[in-house]
Amino acid sequence: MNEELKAGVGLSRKWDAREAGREVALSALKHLDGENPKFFLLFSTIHYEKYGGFQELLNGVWDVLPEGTPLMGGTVAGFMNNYGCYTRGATALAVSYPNMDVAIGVGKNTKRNPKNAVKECISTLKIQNPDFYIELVSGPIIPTFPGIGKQTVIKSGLLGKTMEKAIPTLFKSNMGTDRADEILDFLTDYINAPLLGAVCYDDGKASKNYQFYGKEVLDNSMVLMGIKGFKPNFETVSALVPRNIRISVSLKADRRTCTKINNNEATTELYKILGWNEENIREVERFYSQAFYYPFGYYENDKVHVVMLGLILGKDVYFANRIKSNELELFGLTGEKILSESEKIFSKESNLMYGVICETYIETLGNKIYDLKNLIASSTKDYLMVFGGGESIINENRIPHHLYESINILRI
Amino acid sequence: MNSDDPLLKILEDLLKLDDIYACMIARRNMVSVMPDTNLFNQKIMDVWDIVSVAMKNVFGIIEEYTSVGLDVMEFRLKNHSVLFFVIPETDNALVAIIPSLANKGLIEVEMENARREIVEILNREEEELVKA
Repeated sequence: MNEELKAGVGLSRKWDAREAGREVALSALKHLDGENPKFFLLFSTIHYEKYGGFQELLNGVWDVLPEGTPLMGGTVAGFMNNYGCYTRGATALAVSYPNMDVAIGVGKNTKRNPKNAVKECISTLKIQNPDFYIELVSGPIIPTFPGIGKQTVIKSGLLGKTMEKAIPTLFKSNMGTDRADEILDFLTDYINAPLLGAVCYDDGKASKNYQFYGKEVLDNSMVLMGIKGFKPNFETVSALVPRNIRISVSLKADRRTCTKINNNEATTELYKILGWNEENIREVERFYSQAFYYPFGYYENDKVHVVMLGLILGKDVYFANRIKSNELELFGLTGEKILSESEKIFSKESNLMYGVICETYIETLGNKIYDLKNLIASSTKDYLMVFGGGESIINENRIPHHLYESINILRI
Repeated sequence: MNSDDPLLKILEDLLKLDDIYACMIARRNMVSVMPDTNLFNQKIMDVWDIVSVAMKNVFGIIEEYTSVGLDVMEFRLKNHSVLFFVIPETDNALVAIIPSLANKGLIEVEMENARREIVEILNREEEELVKA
């Protein structure tokens, strides 16, 4: 099978969206020895919004890509491929294999109604019993509160309460957390094969993100590709380190809003546990970037389900994910652990690898991300790894797992 | 310095990133390559003088430790961070001024790509000189 499978990884560093679209497609397709691709994955950083727009990026791709090729993709924080590591540009993976069927489904308004988005996506996915799935979901949008602006920390108790009440409205307006964990749970009811998913993202500001579906640029949507014809190996590693700190949480009905931690006022107790000075405005300003390094998690099916700190709303702490337990453990993330865990997954030889890595890995490693690339380059012929705002997997036993701070790959 | 200079083009590319307020290739007491300062973000103007002085002192350290593998340095001043990516086997560094709350990891990746391109250009120029 491997001899018949051809893969091409493309790259463009051009600033102009249309030119970048053409170049990324050309550079991916040239590796297919004249064969038409059976599918085309396209990823780009958010920069093209200012340099022609994403529709022009797609138009550029379609200037080159054979009509009717199944295409999906989205914006990511960065990517790593045969050419290097980038947090600006566009990349693509084109795959051709004679005995392969591919179809793509799309579901809209994922934040407003994830259940309906999944239903819509499944109903538009025209393929019977695929061997595996690749999923992309719209990422989080930090809301802009009237009169306050874009804040992740609202210190006033009164304002916090008001904002808390506004959260369902935010979802209706397709803002707020990505709800990728809920989407994954709903998807599990419909599919019978492994899935690898990513949450689309921007440059860490969580202001906007886009999904690509054929010739359309979408937001607040999910796209799902079903592939039939071969079965890749799926692998996952996480660099989370338990910090041996467990907390009890009291949650509201949404299972996200935490009113008490260890029976104390949630915000004050959180700052105490993390050793942050609530009065220090600088620490408060840095909340969002620090929060990624202090994820909490609970155990389900012997796996850690990470829940991210989302917002401070006065006395309450709002988590970005639903919490299915009343006890959480604090974890940590270090560069050293990332590199040691990466070795486990990247040292195995393969011809082709597509993967999804948490954006925090770039934040943590910075230019040392090249250490990961060098590991992959020594073992893998063609590869494309994207850095998103969260990772989703469904394993062969149909157990869903939404992750952060992890590496998830499929390889052939 | 003309606008076709490939080193200048690398710097101008970096400056297009929202969070890179200013950048240059510099060494102690001397700026080697600098884009048109009109392209710099105006937000750095109130700290430019003090940052310039601090940079001179940092280059003293770079000169001293480059030979033992000093690779990247950073200092934070007021609301800005200054990143120094040392150009190997030289006392030059690619310097960028960014807001201190920027996503430094993402910026570092593009700084690293810029440094690699700079090294490539310098090596090519050296080869051409040897041939000549």
